[in-house]
Amino acid sequence: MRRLSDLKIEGLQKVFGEATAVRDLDLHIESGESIVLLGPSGCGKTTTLRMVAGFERPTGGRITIGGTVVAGPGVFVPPDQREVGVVFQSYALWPHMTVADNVGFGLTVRRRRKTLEGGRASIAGRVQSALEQVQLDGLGSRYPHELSGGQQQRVALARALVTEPRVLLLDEPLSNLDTRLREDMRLAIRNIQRESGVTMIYITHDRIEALALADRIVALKAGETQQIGPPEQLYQNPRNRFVALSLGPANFIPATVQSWAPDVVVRLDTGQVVGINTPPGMTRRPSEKVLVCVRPPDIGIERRKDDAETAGGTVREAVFLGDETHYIVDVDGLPDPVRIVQRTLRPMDRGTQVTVLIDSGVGNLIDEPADALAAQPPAEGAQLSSLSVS
Amino acid sequence: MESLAPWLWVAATFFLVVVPVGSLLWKSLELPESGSRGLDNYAEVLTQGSVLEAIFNSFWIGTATTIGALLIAVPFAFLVSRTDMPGRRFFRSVAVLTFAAPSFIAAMGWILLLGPRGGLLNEYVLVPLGLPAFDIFGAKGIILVLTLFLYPLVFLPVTDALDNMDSRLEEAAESAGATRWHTLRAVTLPLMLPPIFSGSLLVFISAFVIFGPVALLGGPVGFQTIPTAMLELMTFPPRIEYAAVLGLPVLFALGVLLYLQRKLYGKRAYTTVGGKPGQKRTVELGVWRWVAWFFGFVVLLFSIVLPFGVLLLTSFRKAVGLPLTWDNLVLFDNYRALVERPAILESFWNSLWIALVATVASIVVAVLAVWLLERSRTRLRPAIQPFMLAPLAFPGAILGIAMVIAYSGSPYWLGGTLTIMLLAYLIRVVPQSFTYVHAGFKQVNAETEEAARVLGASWSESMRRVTIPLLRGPILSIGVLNFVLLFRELDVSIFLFTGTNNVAPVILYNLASESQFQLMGALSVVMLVINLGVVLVARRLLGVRVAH
Amino acid sequence: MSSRSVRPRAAGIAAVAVLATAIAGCSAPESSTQAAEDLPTDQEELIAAAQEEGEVSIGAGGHTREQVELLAASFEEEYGIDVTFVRASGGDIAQQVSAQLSAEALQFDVVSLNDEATLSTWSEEGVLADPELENRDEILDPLATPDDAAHVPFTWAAMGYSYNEASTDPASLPTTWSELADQPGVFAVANPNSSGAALTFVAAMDQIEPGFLSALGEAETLISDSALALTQLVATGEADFGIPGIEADVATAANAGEPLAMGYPEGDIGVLTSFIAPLADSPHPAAARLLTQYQLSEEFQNIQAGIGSRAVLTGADVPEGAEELGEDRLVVIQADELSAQKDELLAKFSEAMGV
Repeated sequence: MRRLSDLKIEGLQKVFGEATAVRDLDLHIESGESIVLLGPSGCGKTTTLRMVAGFERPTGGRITIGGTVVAGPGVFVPPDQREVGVVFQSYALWPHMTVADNVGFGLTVRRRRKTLEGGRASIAGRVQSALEQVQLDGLGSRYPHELSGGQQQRVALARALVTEPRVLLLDEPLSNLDTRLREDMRLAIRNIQRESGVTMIYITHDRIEALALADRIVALKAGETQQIGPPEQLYQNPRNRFVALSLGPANFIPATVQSWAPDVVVRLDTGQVVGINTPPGMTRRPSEKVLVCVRPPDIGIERRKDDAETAGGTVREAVFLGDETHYIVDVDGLPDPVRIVQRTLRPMDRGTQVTVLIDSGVGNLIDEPADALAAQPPAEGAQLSSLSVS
Repeated sequence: MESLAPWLWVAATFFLVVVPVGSLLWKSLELPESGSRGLDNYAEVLTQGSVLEAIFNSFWIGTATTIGALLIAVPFAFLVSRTDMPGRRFFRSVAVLTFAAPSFIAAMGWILLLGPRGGLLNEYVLVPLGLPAFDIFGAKGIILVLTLFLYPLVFLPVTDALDNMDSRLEEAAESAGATRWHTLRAVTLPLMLPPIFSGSLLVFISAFVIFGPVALLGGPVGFQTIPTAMLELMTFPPRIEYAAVLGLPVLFALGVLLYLQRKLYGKRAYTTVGGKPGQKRTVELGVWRWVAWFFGFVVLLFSIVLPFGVLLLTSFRKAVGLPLTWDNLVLFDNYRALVERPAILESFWNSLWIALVATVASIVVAVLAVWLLERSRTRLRPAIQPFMLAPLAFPGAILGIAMVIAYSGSPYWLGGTLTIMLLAYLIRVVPQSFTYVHAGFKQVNAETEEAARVLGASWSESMRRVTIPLLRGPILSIGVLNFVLLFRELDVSIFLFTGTNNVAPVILYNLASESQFQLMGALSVVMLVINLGVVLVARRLLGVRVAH
Repeated sequence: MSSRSVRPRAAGIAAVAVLATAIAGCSAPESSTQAAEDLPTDQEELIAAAQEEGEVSIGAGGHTREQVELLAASFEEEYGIDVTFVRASGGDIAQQVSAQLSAEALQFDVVSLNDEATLSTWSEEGVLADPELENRDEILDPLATPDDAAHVPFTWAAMGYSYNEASTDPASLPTTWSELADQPGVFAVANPNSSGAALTFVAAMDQIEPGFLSALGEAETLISDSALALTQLVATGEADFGIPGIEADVATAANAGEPLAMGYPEGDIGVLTSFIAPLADSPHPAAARLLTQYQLSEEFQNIQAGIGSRAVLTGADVPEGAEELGEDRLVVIQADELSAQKDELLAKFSEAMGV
């Protein structure tokens, strides 16, 4: 049976000089749960992970692993006593040791401390099975520099897992791999985590990794938590523009509330009147201006017929990608062009007059004032490359 | 252990830097005439015309020597570490031997080689070729000798850094379309900046404060630098309260250099041992490899073979004053006379072990200091580099005075012991140990250490099993360098020697002052051979590199 | 748990303290039982006290190595007291003593220097102890120090010039100072800024032949900061003449096999006197006094003549092979005289040599 390994972070804070890296983070991770901290660089995700590992001392707040406070007021348990495993972005393999020595390091440390039963042979056995787990059997006597990048990554993973840590921390482990390898490793990590049941915190700025690996995602921005929830929830019901864009391309369409209860109905600035979803606990009065987030695949597009009542627009860019076609469309009445993804075999040319359709129930109200749209430029430029959903 | 580290450093710094330098500074405030204390000594010394001129001279001798050392050291380091130059291993092993003799002996050797009238190179090479004789006396002679003597201070750390650098960084540049030459300039050299800068700093400050060669080569034509001018002021009559004043211009220069260093690369990262190990690539030189070999050969010829060769020759002469004819040569007489001298074995033994202990201890202090500076969050961090480098500011003789004032009396009573000598040796090499280890440390990614910590290793275990093994290259280099330097350390030794704590270089000095030049030559050769042995054994025992 | 962050600090302080005591714990030297002033006046008792001390150390800045080795060997043989010595340049020894005084931890019991000015100062400051010589009035008048001074002369050397016998024909040697200055070739000249001996020489020449320095300045000269460099320059042929040639140094080089020799111009000749004195707070005061007395004893004065060192006692023989120099030819510069003229002489030197 696995040890109790839930992780509780309460009011965590880290200040470097004048800058606040992490502000008031609260997070409770269940034993065996997989959490992804998602955010751009500088959002405090690495600092959070380093505080959990014990490389940094929090300025405030408390971290509890399996019921033991490891960091808090007057308490600091050094990293070697926290029983966490870390996979570093740089892998941090030791070039002067063989692969087997790298993987077995944590075990030899424990044997020396007399916290591990068994002799040299049992260590060798555990190293062997750890290497098998990451499909590196037979490479134990190599030196790290003799391995490929993906293999080095697996060594780092095996090394972190072999001591059966209570919590596994991964800091952008896949950022140095090419796309194909990344996919394989993503799957491998998810499988290993499920099989071993280890509690995992995974750090990334890549939304695909976040969506694929997380039981729950924590979206972070400038040291502050934006939203915590399962991947589908964050994708479908983002609380704000930042969260929405962190998980994929999105359109933000200004609208006016028509009625709030029982169903939320708004009139989009395109003229369409639709029902939308709202985050829990949010209220707006009728006739208030709001922002509605709509994902590109949820918007319909067709050639404009003369009698159309809905909003019209002009195709500014169209790129045919085989499976789907990506459009950028200038829509009458909207300040920004709208991105649309459609499965179609006959893409429309640039300059085509089109009708844009948004179904009821696909839009999500964003907890942000409508004038926020004008105040800040879109996080991603209106380029097609950023539209692609791989 | 981890939380003890800052305290250990504070204790070491207290005894190695604060106490001796502090006593010196306190002494410098003493005004013997009025019996009070004040800054008059500073005003008095620093307004002397000769001192101002000497400060100026020191500056440009230091600058010229640094440039000379860089011109030799950087290409040589690249050839030795990154190309298939023949004999590269040998070249790098023996480079450190330029330090095998005290600097004043090296200068004497150069007088014998390039003295304008009796110099062997002048007499038998330059003049017969119809070339003008080289005059070793004066600034250009000093720069030549100091360059050849000091260039390993840049060469060694740069070589180690190149060894540790991941070639993928260069390959990345080349795959982006850069030519090899451009890659060297745009990627390799900038990444080598920390070791180049810190090595240059050591060369500059050493040239600034070195006494022997300037006294022997500059003195005769009235050319003075800070140490010769100031030692003159404080020698006759003895004014040891001037001693600290002497350190002031050097401390100032040091401060400026450290500031520059911070400006230059304080914010950038130079991590190249990333834990994502890559291949080391060797540049194939083709036929050019023999041109490279010739370059290495010439460097070695001028820095070691010639100066020690002339000492070897001297060791076979009956007297240096006699013409160089077969009649005036002997084979073993001088070596035999050497063996018969009393206390010589004892002095060698003393030198051997205190040099070894001081070498190891200095590395321990350096690793501790560097770790605190680079890895910890202690509030001491801004103080670490200045304190570790401060002893550089004082020439050996001044350090000797400081040691006597600080430690020979109450409450330590170390006067006349080998312990005070050991302590002084340790202080003497702490700055360069710190510098080398620091340059090496900057290349090592902190995550390699964190990875060990998080796997359960205590601080000391992760230091022992991960950090120190990763620093093996710089540690080996600095260890050998320290040993070679200390085994012949003269300036401090002569001051702390009280008749009972004999060390080898003191015997060397006595021989020279008795005009026993041929015995001095013989002893220098013996010391060179011992050093050579130590260097080769160290490379063999400790130098087994990670399979590259 | 909360004690975690406190304990290391306490341990740290403990570690520092342990280290401090480890260094400080080295035994303090046994304090001397007697101060210099209450040493026994009776010679037998002094010897007994000295033998009880058992050892004595001398900082020899005024001796050549040969001279101090001979003193040590003879003294050990006579009294069975171990002598350790440091032979270094006068400047180094004087600085070493200053530093030891500053630390209030003298390593030396006895000091010897050529630089009388420093010794006079020390004598006035009470740094030196009176050696209580019985034969003080037998010291040659021109060399003698004032009766209340603690330091006394123990040997002297004439200051002529040195040359290399192997390359310079003795028959062609100059016989006067002015002839010397007119010689073709290179002169190595000792720098009076950095050595008491050189300053004494400049002062003596200022009396003997005032134009000598400026005449020398016309020729090609190399300035040397130490006797070591001076000898080396002449031996290696970089210079033809060493100025001054000091008998004791030349004798040392000659003993080492170098073909160096002294040249004595006619007429007056400068004298370099070497002085010795016990140190007041020495750890071995009785042995220090005894050693100083022994250095001045008629017995040892004769012994040192055997290695060519000149005696300071009236009526003593001239060492074998040394140039006979009548007392009337000797120019001795007194310390006070030297101190008074120092700046003027240094200025003259700089002007003449153009440095």
